[in-house]
Amino acid sequence: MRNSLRVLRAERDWSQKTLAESLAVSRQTINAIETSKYDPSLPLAFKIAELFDRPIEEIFRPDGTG
Amino acid sequence: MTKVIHASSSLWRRIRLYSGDGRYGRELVAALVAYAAVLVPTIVVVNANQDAAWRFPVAVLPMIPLVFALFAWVRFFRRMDELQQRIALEALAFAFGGTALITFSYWFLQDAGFPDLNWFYVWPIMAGLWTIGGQLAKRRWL
Repeated sequence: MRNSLRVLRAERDWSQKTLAESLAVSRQTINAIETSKYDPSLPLAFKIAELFDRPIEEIFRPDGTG
Repeated sequence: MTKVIHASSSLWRRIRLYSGDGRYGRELVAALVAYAAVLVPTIVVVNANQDAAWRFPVAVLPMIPLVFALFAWVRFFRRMDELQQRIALEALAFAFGGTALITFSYWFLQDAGFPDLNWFYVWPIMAGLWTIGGQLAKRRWL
């Protein structure tokens, strides 16, 4: 999956650490999601969508789609 | 005792890897202090009563504080985030399978004439493989 987490985080001028604390995960986990090395679970993806106030499909997209 | 301290330092590195709020570290240290406090008198009493039948249950008394360490360890795993749990699981899977390979191999070698080894070596093997498995899993996910 691809995601726009890094862009959304940059728009709010948040560090990975700040985002990690908001989501109760480690900074390394945020980095792994941003670099698409790790796809978050559905509950964590929903938590991210809620935090950025965006629909989940706007943040996470399957590979090969726009 | 030296072996236990060595094993604990390996564990400590693991703890720092997933460093959370330090709660696990405190719980583990408390359990290890209790373990050491029970261990010393146990060794003295067991050594002084080598013929007594009750020495066997007394000999395993130091394990009771380590049961608390085990539960602290499980709680520590539960507090990890989902990626940390995945990395830890892959590391444990590697250590579990790898320990089977090594111990089975040694069993065959023992049959062929290698010397008998103490059971205590199993856990350091598992801990060592766990470290390697953790590094491999981290390369994949982090």
